[in-house]
Amino acid sequence: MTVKFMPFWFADVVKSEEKLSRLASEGLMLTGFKPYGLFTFEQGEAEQVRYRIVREKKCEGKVPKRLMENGWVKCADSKHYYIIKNADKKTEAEPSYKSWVSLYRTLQTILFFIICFFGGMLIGATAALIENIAEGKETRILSLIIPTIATIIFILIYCVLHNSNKKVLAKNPDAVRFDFTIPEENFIYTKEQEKAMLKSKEMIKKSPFFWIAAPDKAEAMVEKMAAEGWKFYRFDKLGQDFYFIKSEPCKLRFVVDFQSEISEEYIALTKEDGWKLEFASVTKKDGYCIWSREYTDDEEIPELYSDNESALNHAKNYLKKMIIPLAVDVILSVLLIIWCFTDDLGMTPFKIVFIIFMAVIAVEYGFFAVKSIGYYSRLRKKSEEI
Amino acid sequence: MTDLEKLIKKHLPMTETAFYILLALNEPRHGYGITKFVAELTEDRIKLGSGTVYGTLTKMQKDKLIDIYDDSDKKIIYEITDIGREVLKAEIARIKLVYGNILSQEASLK
Repeated sequence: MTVKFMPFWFADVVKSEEKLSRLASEGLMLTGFKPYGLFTFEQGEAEQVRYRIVREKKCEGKVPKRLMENGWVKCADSKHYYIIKNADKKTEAEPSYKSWVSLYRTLQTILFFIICFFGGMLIGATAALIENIAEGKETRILSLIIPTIATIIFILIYCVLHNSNKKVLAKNPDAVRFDFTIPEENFIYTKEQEKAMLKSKEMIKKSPFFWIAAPDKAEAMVEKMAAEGWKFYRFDKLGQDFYFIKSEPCKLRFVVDFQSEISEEYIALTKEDGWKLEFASVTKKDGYCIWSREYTDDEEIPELYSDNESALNHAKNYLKKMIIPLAVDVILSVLLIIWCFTDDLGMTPFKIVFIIFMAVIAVEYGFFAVKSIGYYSRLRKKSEEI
Repeated sequence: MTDLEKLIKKHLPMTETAFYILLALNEPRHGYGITKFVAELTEDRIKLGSGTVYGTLTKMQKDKLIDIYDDSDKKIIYEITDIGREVLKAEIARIKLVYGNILSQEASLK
């Protein structure tokens, strides 16, 4: 038995799979695996096989039947992973890389914030150092070393993951790309054409302030505009500006759908049901998608939810995504204001500005939280009517 | 109480939506395939919304009533598991019982 420790195997899953295939061609057959990087091999006859490391949260090591019917054989599994091999170069059923795409994307997002944190530290330390030098005070270069090294290391890890993500995306060309908020196909006109249309009033823009606090009002606004001959064209990249183009009056259903996770399957299923994706939030975890669908007088008004339970679940997702974060922000702002009044440091001009700033945040977020609660109760009421 | 009994207790009586979705997965099908199957079977009486299908599938998979048959494409194909089949059979038995009771009492209804 041979044991190999490869702690960074997940950083480039395609490379790790190629390595397993190479070892098999040398007679080392994989028999065991632990996610922290322990791979166990038995010496056997050399084989030309392809390996695939599949990550699937819900699978618990179980290989889907269709893969087994296509000659895939399980070699090892552990928790949310299983490793399978196949002697054929291509089969009708190939394991998907989509969960790897999602993992790399999540890790990249986390790393982005870590890089921002250490980058900020680095900027702060550099500014302090320059100030000390200018004032002729004692300077400590050491304070720069930790943030510099950390920033470089995390940038390098980010680049490795970016490269790995590109590799798995190349292996999964049909996958729904998640690096967008507006699908590319929604941009029918060029920027110049759009500018000209806006100027000639063939296209108009509306920007309802913080419409996400009451999405049903925005839905109704878009549906009314469509009935009046202003069809929804597209959003801006942040989902704040609504663009409409002059067209024949039509019946349009426009819905904002909150999901605990926006998955490839969810998008594919809803598209196949006849809906057009207008927008997907930047956060795919606890995020939202905006869908539209035209219908005729003979058809029923299309809805995403046809049963009470799922509609209620949608309302809960909204609660999680909007109301809880808003309420937390309001509470934090109020607590900070109380802390400013109760500490022993006295009132300084900076503190007064800070209190005013926090008070504005508390009032503004409080207002949106109340609006959101109104929408949540309307969603609940609607789900009871289904 | 066994795990199966617990699941039967949790899922019965089933909503019409859950019943038809589980019934549709007696054969491997993807989300939209389920919608089409249910619409055909009920002669368009039940038109499942895509949000409903997606949410129900996620919940059923969590409870191991269904399993992934094929996920090589972006459309995941599901099928019923042995546990799911037992839950479905229990629901069918319950509906038959209700139906029997209706037949025996229908005549007395004015």
